Amino acid sequence: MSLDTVSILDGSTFVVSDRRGDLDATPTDNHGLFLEDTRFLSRWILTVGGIKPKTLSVDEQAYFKVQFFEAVTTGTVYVDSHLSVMRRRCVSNGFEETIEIENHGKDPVDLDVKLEVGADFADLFEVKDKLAKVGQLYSNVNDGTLTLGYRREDFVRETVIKSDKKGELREDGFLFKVKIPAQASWSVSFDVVARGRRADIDEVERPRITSAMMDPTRDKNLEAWLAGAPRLIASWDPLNKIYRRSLVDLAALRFETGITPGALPAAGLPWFMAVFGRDSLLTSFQALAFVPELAAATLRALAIVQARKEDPFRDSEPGKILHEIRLGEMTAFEARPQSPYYGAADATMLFLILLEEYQRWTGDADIVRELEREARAALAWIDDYGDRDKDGYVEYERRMDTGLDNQCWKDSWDSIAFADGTLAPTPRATCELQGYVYDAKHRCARLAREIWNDPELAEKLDKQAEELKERFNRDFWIPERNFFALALDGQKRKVDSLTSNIGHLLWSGIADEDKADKCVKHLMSDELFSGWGIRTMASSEGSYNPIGYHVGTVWPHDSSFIAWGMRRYGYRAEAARICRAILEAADLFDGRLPEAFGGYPRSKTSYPVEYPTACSPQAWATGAPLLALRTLLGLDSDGKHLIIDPAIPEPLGRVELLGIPGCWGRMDAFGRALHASED
Amino acid sequence: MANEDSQQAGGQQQWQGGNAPGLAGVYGRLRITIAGKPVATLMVEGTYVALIRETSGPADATFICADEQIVRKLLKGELNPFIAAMRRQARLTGDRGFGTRVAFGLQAGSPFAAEADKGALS
Repeated sequence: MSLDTVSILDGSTFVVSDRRGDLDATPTDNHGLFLEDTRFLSRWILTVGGIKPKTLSVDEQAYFKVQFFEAVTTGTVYVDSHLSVMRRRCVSNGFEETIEIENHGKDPVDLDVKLEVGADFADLFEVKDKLAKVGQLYSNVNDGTLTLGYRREDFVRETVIKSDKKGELREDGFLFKVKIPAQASWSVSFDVVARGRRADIDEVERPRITSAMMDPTRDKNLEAWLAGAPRLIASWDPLNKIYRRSLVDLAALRFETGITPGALPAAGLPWFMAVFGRDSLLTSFQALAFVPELAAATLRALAIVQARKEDPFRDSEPGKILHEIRLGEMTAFEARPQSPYYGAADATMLFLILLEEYQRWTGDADIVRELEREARAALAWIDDYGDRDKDGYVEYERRMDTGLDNQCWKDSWDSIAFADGTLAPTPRATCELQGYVYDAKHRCARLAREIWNDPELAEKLDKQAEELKERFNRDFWIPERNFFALALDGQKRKVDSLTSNIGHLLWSGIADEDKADKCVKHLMSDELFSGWGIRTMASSEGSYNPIGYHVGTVWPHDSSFIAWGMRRYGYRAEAARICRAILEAADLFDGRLPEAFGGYPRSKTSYPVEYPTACSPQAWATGAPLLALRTLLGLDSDGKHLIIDPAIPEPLGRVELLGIPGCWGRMDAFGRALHASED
Repeated sequence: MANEDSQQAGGQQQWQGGNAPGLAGVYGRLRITIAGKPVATLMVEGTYVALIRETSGPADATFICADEQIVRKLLKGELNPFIAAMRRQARLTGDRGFGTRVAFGLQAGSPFAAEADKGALS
C-alpha cells in the first residue's frame, strides 16, 4: 500500500483512506470500505465550512482503529487556525466514526459540516481490473438512515449509514448546520454497516449492542496474542520493533473462515484479504516457532475444502489444495473461478510439508491422524494429476482461459522465461515444485511410519523421493551455467534463466551437495543478491526488470525461505547475511516489510525502493522476519527437543527469544554475534 | 429420488441412502430447512449417507435454503456452497465445517444423483 493511504482492518473487512481519513476512490486511488471482496463505500469525504481539513497527524492506534488530527486551515501561515478536527474510526463489519470539531477561538462559529457519501459496490476484481458493473445501484433515505445498495438478481449488497445527530440527510450524504460556541466542541458519530442479507435466509438483523470503538475485546485479544508469542530481547533495537510489527500485522491478517475453529492468515491488504492456500501455508510455516496455532487452523480449513472432483473451470482435481477463495460478485456469477479456485501446483505439497513440520514442532499427532485421509488424497494428487504426462515431474497448465497461466508462487504471466526473455510454453514444471514433492514425500514417509502405522507407504514414499532427487539433479541441471533450470517447458526444454527459485531447492533438500554449493554462490552473487535480499530474477537475464513483479524485485518471503534452506545445507554465514539484509530493509520500511520491493542494487540506493502496487501488510512478508529470526537462532525440532544453533551476524549483536512454544513446552534461545577472533 | 434402497410408501417418497465415497471419515446430521421450515435430515455415517424425513432431534449443522432447487443441487452433488452463500441462496449454521464437508463430499459421488429431481421435498 502507498504511504499516502491509511488502512485499518479486521478479518476480511478493511478501510483504505487517504491521510485525511477521506475515501475518494478513483481508478488510481483504491480507497474504500471493503468486505468479502466488495467495496461497500467508495466515497466518504468530509468538509467543514466548505474546506477539506488539513491533516496534522495520524495516530494508527491499532490495526483496527485510527485517529486523524486535522485543522481547518486559513490558507496562510500568518493566521492560526481556530478549528481543529479529530476523526476517530474503528472497523467492525463496516466501521464507526466520530468526528469532533473544537472551536479554540474567542467567538462562536457557524459551520456547514458535510459528509459526501457514495458506494460503487465494485468487486475487488473490478477495482483491480477497472471493469464496469452489471447490476443496478440504488439508494434511499428512510427514518434517519441512508441506505446505499446494489442488486443483480439474487446478489444484493447494502451499506446502511446512521448518525447520532439529526441533520439534513440526502442520498449523497449528510449535512449538519452547527453553531459551536467559543472554546467549545461539537461531535457527530456514524455507524456504517456493510451487509448482504436476504430476509428468508438470514437472521433478523440486530443493532450493535456495544460500540466497536468502546469494545475492549479486540484490544485484549491483541494483547493476548502478543503475550502468547515468545518475548524478544535484541541488542539491535530495530529488531524489537520489527518483531512486534510482524506479530501485530499477523494478528491483523487473521481470518475467520467460519468453517473451522481458529483463524488463518489472509494473504494481504488490499488485493488479497482472502484465503489463499499457498500464502496461508507458507506464512504459517514462517510463524510456526512463534504462533503455531496458525498452522493448525490453516491445515484444518484447507482440508475441508480440498478438491473432490475434476472441474476444468476451477482447475480442480481430487486431492488438490485450493489456491484462492473469493466472495465477490464476479465469483458469485462464475465470471471468475475462485469459488474456490485450485490453480496452484504447489499448495498441495506445501500442505503436506506444513502438516509434518507442525507435528514435529508441536508434537500434536492427533491432527496428523485427523487429516490422514486428506494427506493421502494430497499424495495421490501429486502422482495422479500433478504429474500430468507421467514424466516423473509435477507440471501445470490451466484448463480454461479464466485460470492462472502460472500456478507456481511466481504467478504473473511473464515470470517463467528463458534467459533471452522468451516465454516458456506450457505445461511448465518449475524446479521448486519438484523440490516440494521431494520434501513432502520424505516428510509424509515419517508420518506414515510413526503415526499412521503404515511402513509400506513410508518405504514407498522414501523410495519415490530418492528416485525423484536422482532424476531431478540429472534433468534440471544446466552444466554450462552451473545452476538448476527454472523449469522444464512444454517441450521438456530446460528454461535456462537464473532465478531465486533455485533457493527453494535448498529449503526442500532436493539439490545434491555439490550442486547446492554452486547454487549458493549464484544466490550470493551480485546478479541475484541485491544487498537487500535475493532478486526473483538475476540482473544478468533477458527478462530482468528491478520493478518487474516476479522478474527482478526482491520478495522478503522468498529470501527468508532461501536463507532457511542455506542453513539446511550448512551455509550459516550466507544465511545470516540474507537475514540481516531483509531485517535492515524492514527497518527502513518502518518495521513492516512490503510484499516486494525493487531489485535495485544496494550500492545504488541507501534504502530499498518501493514496488508501486505491493500489498502491505502482506502475510508472508510479515512472516519473513519471523523465519529470519528462526534462521539466525538456528531453531529446529527433532520431535522432542528444541534445537538451538545460532549464527548471528555482528551488527545484530545479541538476540534472546524467550518462551518458544513447542513439544518441549516453553524454552528460551539465546544467540550472539561472534567476533572474528572467536570464530 | 433415491438409489436402490429407496421405496415408495403411502404415496410419499421415503428417501433412503447409499454410498458417497467423498464423505469417508465424515459423521453427523445435517438438518435441511426450506423457507424456514425443517424438511429433512441428512444422516452421514462415513461413506454411507441417508436422507430421512425426521426433523426433530439434534443436528450438527443446519442448511438453510431459499428453495427446493438448492436442496436438490446439494443432494445431487452439484451445489457449490460458496456460491450459494454469496448469492444468499443458502447458508449454514452450527458446525459449518461439517456442512461444507458434506456439500463437498457429495460432489465426489452422491447416491441421490440419479433421482434428486423427483419427489416432493417440502
